[in-house]
Amino acid sequence: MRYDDPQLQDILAGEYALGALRGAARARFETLARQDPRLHRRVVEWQERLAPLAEETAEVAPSPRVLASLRRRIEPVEAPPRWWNRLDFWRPFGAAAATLVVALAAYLGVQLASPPATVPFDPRYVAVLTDAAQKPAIVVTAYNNPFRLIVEPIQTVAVQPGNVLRIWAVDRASGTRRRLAEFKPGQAQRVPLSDAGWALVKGAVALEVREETIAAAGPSGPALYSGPCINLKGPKIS
Amino acid sequence: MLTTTTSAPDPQPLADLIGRCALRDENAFVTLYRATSAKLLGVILRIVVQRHWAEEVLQEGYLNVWRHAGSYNAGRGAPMTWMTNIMRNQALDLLRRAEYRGKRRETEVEETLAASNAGPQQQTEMSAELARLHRCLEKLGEQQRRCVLLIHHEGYSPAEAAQREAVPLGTVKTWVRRGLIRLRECLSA
Repeated sequence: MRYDDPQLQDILAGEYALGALRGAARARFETLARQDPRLHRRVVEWQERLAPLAEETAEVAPSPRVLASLRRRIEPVEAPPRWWNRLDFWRPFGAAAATLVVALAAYLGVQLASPPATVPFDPRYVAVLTDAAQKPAIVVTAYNNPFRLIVEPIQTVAVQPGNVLRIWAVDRASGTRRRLAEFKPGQAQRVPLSDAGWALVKGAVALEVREETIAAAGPSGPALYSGPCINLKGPKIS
Repeated sequence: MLTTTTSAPDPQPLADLIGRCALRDENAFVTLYRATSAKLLGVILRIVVQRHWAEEVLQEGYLNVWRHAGSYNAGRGAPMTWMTNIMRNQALDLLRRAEYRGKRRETEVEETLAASNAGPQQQTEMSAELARLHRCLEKLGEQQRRCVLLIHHEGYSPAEAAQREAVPLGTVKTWVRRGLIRLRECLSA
């Protein structure tokens, strides 16, 4: 299909705005519209054309608990240094995340119960990053020989043009955040790591993802996704 | 059940509030929520029908508004258009989720459908934009118009609309495409 045909672009934009594009076609179209400002413009034009229809819809006041919950969820994540020691940080990673990690480990072919074989292709660290609703969004696995990350978005992760997605490592000892890697939305990908990058992974208690401008130096804004960074070799117990 | 509301709120104060949300101003967020949430919940409720799902969609939607406030600009449409689109996308995402599927259609569909075919008593309260859009929708065939509105208001997929109207899917797809072309022609005339 020729997506650069203006007539077709306009129909697709209209179908998207109307809600007639669904499932994989909708996701594909969103990817195209993010990359093509003209297509994006057509979508907005269609949304504006159809917007008056919302007038026909009765207003319904939401229950107060929606705002109460939102207030909690938008609070800045400026936290005391040893924030990962607090129980309320770990609670969300309780049963659901534990199940997830076990399932993930099975998926990766790692047996947590028995000592893992030292095959060079085994992942060494894994972090399941969840969104604000504690739903898994991105799986990051770290491998050595050579040092690399595999970043696998499992939710649609949108990013504004000109912005990048960055992974930050939260240092176990100091709680400081260090920039680890950048990745692209929408696809599983391999991100090579330097020796210094590997050291950050080894020292990380958690990984976080932020959407930032390319020029941003420090971690900007709250993390979109975060999760504990788990050493799959387990703790050293003799 | 249906109460027609007047035209969209003045966009500039809303755009300012979104701008302040980008600066992480929580008070601005709460003001924005109070000004817009009832309208947006109404839009969501027609698509997902069940109240607790609709409120979940609303909450996720506002979280996206908060997170992406920095990327909002006039090129993305009027503030309400931008926020409505965020909510609609969130609602359409929900329709795909397995635990939600199948629970939706049994309830209240006839009621919401009746609402979307709202009678002429509302015409007096319509904004000029909506009246114009309706004049253009009138030019479509009755079934064609109903499909377009089912998809827009109720979040029907073209396949669901085809099933409901007892016509082949291809027919609905053609209706939608031709309907959109006619609408655009009529609205730009």
